[in-house]
Amino acid sequence: MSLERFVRWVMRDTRYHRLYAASVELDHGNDTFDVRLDDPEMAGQGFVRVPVAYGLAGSSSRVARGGCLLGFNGGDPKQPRIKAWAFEVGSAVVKLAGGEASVARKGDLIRISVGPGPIPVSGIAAGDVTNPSPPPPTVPLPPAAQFIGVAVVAEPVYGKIIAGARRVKA
Amino acid sequence: MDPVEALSVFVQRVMRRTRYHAQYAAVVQRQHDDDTLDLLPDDEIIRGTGLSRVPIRYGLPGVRVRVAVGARVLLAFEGGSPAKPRAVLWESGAIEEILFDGGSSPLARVGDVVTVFWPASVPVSGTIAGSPFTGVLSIASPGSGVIESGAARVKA
Repeated sequence: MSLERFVRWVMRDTRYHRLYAASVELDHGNDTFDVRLDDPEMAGQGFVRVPVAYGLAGSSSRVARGGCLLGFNGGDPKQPRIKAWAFEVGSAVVKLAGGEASVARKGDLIRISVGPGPIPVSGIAAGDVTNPSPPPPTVPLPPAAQFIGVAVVAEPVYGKIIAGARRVKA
Repeated sequence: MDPVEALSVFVQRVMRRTRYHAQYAAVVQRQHDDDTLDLLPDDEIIRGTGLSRVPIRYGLPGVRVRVAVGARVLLAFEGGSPAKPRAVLWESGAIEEILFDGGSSPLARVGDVVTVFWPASVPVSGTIAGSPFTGVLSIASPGSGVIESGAARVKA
């Protein structure tokens, strides 16, 4: 064995200092993934249930497919970690700070709750009252006529978000 | 050169590729439309004439970022290969946009404005000056409101 090969053999574990391109094969649903490495020398080791080291604290994810970078904590082959992700549209669902609700965006629909039941309304009415029957058909209201009643909003009321964060989009 | 120094130089030469196992601070000089970066590493040995069209690998899946010129990032090398540089981790304050799942709609937050579209007519009944009446209310213009609640631990 040449001295050069000997040195490489002694230092062979430095390969676990590298980051390796990999692909997600299975998501176990608990932020661990089975991954396949692109490097043929490393691919045969079978990386199953590899945890993720997220670049953002408080994150978790479900990943259907996609590329990632796999590294080894402390250069230890027993401690593989997914350390970064390639971007791919529609590949992942991200949860921040343990949340479950979908975030809303500018343009998203909102539904307003009105009621329940009749809504009390009141105010000052002015103008003429039109009687359906009998005549006279119209009667002028006295000045500052008090109006008291209820309004019924039977159908759902919808709206739209028209503002949002300038730098964060989804 | 004494034998120890010669051996040291030899080992360093044999192991020179391990230089690309480390991560290096770099400055963004340009971000292309495909999100790749032109980078200038701080380290003179790595720097050369700078690295062009370096892909980004993100700390979250399904996310991409647009960053400002001058943003600072850590540079890594996939498989320890100098031919495969990747931008991986960012210093704070470097972001122009964070884009989840390729979306382009701004995230809504507590305090953001909403427009409310009322029904075309709202039945009303009651009394006017003591006399009973029925009718309909027509609200001609949309209303507005603000978002009053949101995630306590996620802010934008």
